[in-house]
Amino acid sequence: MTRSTGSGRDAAPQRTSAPAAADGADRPLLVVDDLHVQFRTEAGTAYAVDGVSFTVAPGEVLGVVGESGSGKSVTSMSLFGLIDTPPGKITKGSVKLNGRELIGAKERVLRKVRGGEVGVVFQDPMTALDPVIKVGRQIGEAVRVHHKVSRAQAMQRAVELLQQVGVPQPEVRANQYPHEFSGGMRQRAMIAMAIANNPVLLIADEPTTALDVTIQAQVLDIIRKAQQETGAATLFITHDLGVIAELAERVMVMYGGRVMETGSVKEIFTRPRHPYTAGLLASLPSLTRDEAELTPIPGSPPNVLSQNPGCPFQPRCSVGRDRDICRAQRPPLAEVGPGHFSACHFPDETPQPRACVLEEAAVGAAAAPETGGAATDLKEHS
Amino acid sequence: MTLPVDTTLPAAEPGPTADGGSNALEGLSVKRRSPAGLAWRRFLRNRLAAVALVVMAILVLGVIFLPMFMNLDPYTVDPLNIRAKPSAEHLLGTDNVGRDVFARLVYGGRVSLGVGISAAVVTTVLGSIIGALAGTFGGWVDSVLMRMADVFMSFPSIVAMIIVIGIFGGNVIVLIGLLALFNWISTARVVRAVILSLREREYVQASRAFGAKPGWLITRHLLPAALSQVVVILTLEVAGLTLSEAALSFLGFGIQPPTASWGNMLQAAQQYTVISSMPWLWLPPGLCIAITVLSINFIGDGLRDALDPRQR
Amino acid sequence: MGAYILRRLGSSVVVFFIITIIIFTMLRLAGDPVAMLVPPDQYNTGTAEFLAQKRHELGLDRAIPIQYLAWLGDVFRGDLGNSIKNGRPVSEIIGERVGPTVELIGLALILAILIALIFGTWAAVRKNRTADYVITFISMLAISTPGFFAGILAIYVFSVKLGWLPSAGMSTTGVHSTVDQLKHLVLPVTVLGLSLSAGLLRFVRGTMISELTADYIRTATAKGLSKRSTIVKHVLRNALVPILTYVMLQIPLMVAGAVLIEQIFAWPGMGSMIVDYAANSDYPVLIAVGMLTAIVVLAANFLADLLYTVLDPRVSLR
Repeated sequence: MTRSTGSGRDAAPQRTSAPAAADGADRPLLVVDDLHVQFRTEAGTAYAVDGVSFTVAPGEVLGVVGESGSGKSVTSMSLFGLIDTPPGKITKGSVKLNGRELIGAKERVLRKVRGGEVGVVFQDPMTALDPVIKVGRQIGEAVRVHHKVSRAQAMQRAVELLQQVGVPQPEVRANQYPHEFSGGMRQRAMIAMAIANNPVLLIADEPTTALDVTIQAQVLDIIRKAQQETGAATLFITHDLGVIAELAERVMVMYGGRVMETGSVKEIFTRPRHPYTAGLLASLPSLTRDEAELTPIPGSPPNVLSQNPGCPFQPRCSVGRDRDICRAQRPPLAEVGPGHFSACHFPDETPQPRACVLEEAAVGAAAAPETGGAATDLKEHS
Repeated sequence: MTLPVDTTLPAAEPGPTADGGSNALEGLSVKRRSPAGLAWRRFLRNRLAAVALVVMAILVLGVIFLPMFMNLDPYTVDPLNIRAKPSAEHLLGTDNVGRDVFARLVYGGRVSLGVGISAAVVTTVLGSIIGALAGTFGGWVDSVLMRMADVFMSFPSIVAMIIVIGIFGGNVIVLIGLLALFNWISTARVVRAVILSLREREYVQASRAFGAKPGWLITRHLLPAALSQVVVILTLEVAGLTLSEAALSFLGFGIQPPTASWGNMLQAAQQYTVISSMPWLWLPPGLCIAITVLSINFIGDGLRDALDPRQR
Repeated sequence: MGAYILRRLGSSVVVFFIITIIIFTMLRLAGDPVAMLVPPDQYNTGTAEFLAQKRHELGLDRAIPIQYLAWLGDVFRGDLGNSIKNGRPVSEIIGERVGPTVELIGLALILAILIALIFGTWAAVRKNRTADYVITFISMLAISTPGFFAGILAIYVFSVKLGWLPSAGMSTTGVHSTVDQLKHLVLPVTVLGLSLSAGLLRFVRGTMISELTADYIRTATAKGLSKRSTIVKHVLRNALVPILTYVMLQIPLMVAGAVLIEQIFAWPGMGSMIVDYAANSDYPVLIAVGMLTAIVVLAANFLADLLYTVLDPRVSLR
């Protein structure tokens, strides 16, 4: 990490350089409480995020998983004012970063947070970069927004960052335009941009979804490395449970704009306490299992346009489909084990995954945070 | 161990993100507009188009039927009563040679609107034919026609028409022909684009696979699909060509007196004294042109929104 | 990139020669220049021989392709013939009219671009809000109002009623002051600029709206850029390429607007010249104007392509 530009950061006093960050557990970096985000649409109001609460400890990697439309992306984007208003609107809730309230904060304050304390990696690197500005300058811009440095210094920092994220010939690459980069290289540039100011929190919004399968593993590796080097806590949004198993320590499962279940990756993968999570696990393809055994979740994702008084998953749920309480009453997110919460009226009736899935997932989950070996695994398997 | 949840779940993406392409909204099949803003927009848009339609109806009915109910004489010269102010006898006064301005306004409206509409029809037909040829045959036919379109597109049609009419003289037919010759490009481009996109659609390819003839394809599949867009362009061309006719006539190269047109009525206003002290000579025809063109433009925009909401 | 530009240049040249052929055909169709030497009522027995001799002198009895080449040679030497009306060389007549037109169009264009960029961006940023509706409505009004009618209205208001500004010419006869010349510029430049700005504004608005929804905007926001910086540094930079290309392609069309404005304000430029000489069917002058217009059109098309190649990094690699 460079000393030329990185010294002026004002926030994040308790940032730790070690990735483990065990001491941060009692004092969370990010506290989201009862967040509600609505989108006004032609068809009506969409309750995209409907009372989501969670915390992220310093240095922690929290995986957020869910289907399209589950509200996972909207949640992460609304934390720092990255949704378009209108049509979007945060109607309720609180977001605290290092104890500072961000909902309703002045635009000036939010601008300091964005790119400074929080770096974002977007889904599609093909469109997320400005096509007519050289990559180095775009990365340098991220530095210059937050620090008073010259253009040349910013460029130098951009080259260092490109090197850090494994872009070969960074001096040459910095002077190229995005269209001269491949998809994987562009996503590296995006990551470089996100970590330019040593953020305390990294948001990765489906960073590998738009990439070739072969590139995905490399980019995940880069993100993990960047996360470890900067010590930034990470909110990793994906619909890919496999990625979660590799990268995250904790996972939050979202559905219909709500949190369904949250807990440690190991807990959730081995002992899910919510039928939706169980459904997700059952629908995973596995090497050791016949494709025919894949069990899709019946039904379709919830209609977020209507506010359901009960559990959003109820119409598709094998446990609650015929139960009045599931239809009428919204289950609270209740603790079902140490650090393990489930929003289900009947967590104990959750169908449990078969052993072979468990083994594989558990191996992946255990291997992920400590070793870099999982990435090679991933390559082989895909 | 790449485990994409979405692909195995039966109901993954409910639809593309509308309008904004915001990833944050991924999966929600919604438009990014507030209902209030949308309603306001539609209201205003429709109201403008509706008002414009009413105005145009009044104008058209007026120029068609007024002569039947009023004794309007646009041609009789009255040397003793030139440049008279508006009065009960001459609602809008008289012109340089004592002709009744109101009568000329009504008859001029027939000519201006008539030329505008017929020129727009000829233009659209010509453009549709060229566009259909370019789109259907492709290859060198397409390149030649589209290269021609590029040149015509950026050639100042008024200048070209002044030159041609200046050298060879002109009449109404020549005028309409020239207007069409220099304005077919936008129609041709739209029709071509529609055809190119349709050629790739399954049902057209299926028809082709079943051995349908090109003529049948054009009339049964391609032109109907292009129709709504062509109607919009036709409407907008009426506005543009009415404006062109007015400009040409104003400069003395369009409709020739004694036949009245709104454009040539404005010719009088090339004299300073007429501008300064006889506004009844130029204000009514000028307003008529502006109101007509404005109304037709609003109608065209309204039509576009109504026929193809995805545009804009 | 070089090959692409060369190819475009080549195609422009081909189109130019096609246009010269069309113009030459028009020239020959316009009438027998020799027959016009003698009015029909003065024909006598010697006339036919005299005319035949004249034709031979002028080379009009040669084969048509030879005549075309000879004519083309004259054109390239700058010999565009003489005016029928006053016998002066066409090149001289045009030469003295180009300046005022370039001045008028140039200033009006700058005004139009400024208006279109500022208000078009404003409307795009405030899309579907009051400011957008007002701007869009006014621009529609400006598109629909004929430039010449707007000019007449402007004269009526600012010259006749208010007496602020002169209504005709480039300067007051006998007065030589910069202020006087500037005053004469105000009305024609403003009216032409406003009428040019309307279409451009709508184009800017459309371009900006589509750029504003691009993903890289959100990236810029996520970096901590303010909305204003994002618009200036990213959106405008991206919109610049299509906008400048559009402006280049519009330049020839602005000549058409200038014709009317010059006529209204008695501006001694090419526009009023065209009207003047066309009214007299002075075809040598008109042919020359047509040729000049064609060159401007082709040059503008070519420059638009060139601009695109230079400004858009994605294109320049081709």
